[in-house]
Amino acid sequence: MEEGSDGLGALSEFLLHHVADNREVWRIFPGVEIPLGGSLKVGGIELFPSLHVCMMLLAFLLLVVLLGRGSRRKEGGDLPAGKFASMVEAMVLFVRDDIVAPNLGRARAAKWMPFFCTLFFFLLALNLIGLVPGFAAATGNPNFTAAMAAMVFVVFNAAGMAANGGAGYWKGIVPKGVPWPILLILVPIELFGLVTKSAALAIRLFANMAAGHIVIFSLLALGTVVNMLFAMPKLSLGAVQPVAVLFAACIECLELFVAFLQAYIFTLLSALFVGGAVRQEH
Amino acid sequence: MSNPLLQLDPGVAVWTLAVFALLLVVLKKVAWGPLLSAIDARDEKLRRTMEEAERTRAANESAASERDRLMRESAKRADEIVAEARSRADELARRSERAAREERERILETARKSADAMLASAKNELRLKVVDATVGLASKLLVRELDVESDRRVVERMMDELEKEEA
Repeated sequence: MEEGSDGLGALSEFLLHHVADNREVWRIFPGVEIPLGGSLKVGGIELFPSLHVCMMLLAFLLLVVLLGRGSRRKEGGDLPAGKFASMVEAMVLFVRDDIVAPNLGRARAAKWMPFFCTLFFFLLALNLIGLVPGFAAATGNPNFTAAMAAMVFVVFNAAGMAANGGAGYWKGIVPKGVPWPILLILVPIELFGLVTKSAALAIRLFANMAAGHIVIFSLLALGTVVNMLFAMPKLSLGAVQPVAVLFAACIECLELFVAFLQAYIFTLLSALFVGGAVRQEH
Repeated sequence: MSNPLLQLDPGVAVWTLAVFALLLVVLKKVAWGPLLSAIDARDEKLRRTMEEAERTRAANESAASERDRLMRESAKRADEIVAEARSRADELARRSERAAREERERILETARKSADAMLASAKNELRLKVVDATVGLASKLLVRELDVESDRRVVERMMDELEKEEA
């Protein structure tokens, strides 16, 4: 038991190591590695790209190339050029008609579309890249999700102040006509709510993406775990492992759905927050 | 316990914001700009087309009602024309009938007059013949040659008197 738990401890560390960010090496295939051990400190902050930063840069390049192609039109027309462009347009229209327009209204939607489209496609690209073996999910990094959520927090408060005026926006945080003793309770609650709903945004994305990857890696390690516990290599590697790999493949498919779902939820809630700040009716 | 999943790494956060900001700027230029303006243009075109279709439909409807109105009107007008033509034809028929009757009467009248004239001349001729015959007979009876000229005047006078008595 002692021995087994030591082995399991090492295994769990190994597993978390695969899900977490990496500042040492990006192991694409066994034998194909990109070293990430450099250092580039600016004001005490390590700016040398980590594994997840590499994923962001990869997503950046992919999005610029693919969406640049995907936004092309047929010669002299408004119609998408080709299947990929049609698919991109369908997704953009989905973002417009099901995320931005319902929360911000048709008139404001046009102005906000670039922001929310970029948000949606950035998150989606990072989620999908994370599903490719050999690559990592930057959206499963709390530093990434916290930064995105903080950005959304700043954006919706700024948008609220731009639409209602600084004083008007902060007054509008609480409903009108509330007696002052209640305001003593309500104001902190509402201010705290602004922060928590942004924090929830960060935690939801991080937890969903990290959890999915942990489940997949756990299933892949199941044969090894059974072997550690029962020392039966034939059973564990011959019978358990194939089933576990099949399960992991199923979870991978589920994760494909989750990749879209979480990108959608993050974008939808961001649009909801911006909409709520811009049109302050409770 | 130091969970590798929950390591604070401000560098990643800085990169996140930088990459997102840059992505927003670049995509706005290469993707969203062209794509969204094309979608807007298409929506606008679609909206215009539908409006135009609606206008055309309304125009067709009013044209149809106008056509119905015109058809009703022209049918009425046609009825009027037929009725007028009929009344005019009746009038014409009546008039020509009257003219024909007048013509017939006029012809009859002329015929009657010429018949009367012929009768009068026939009577005159007969009278002359009678006078001649009478004078001839009387001269034969008297076995002498009468003074034809003077006797004839006597006889004619007698005839005139006779005619006056007749009348």
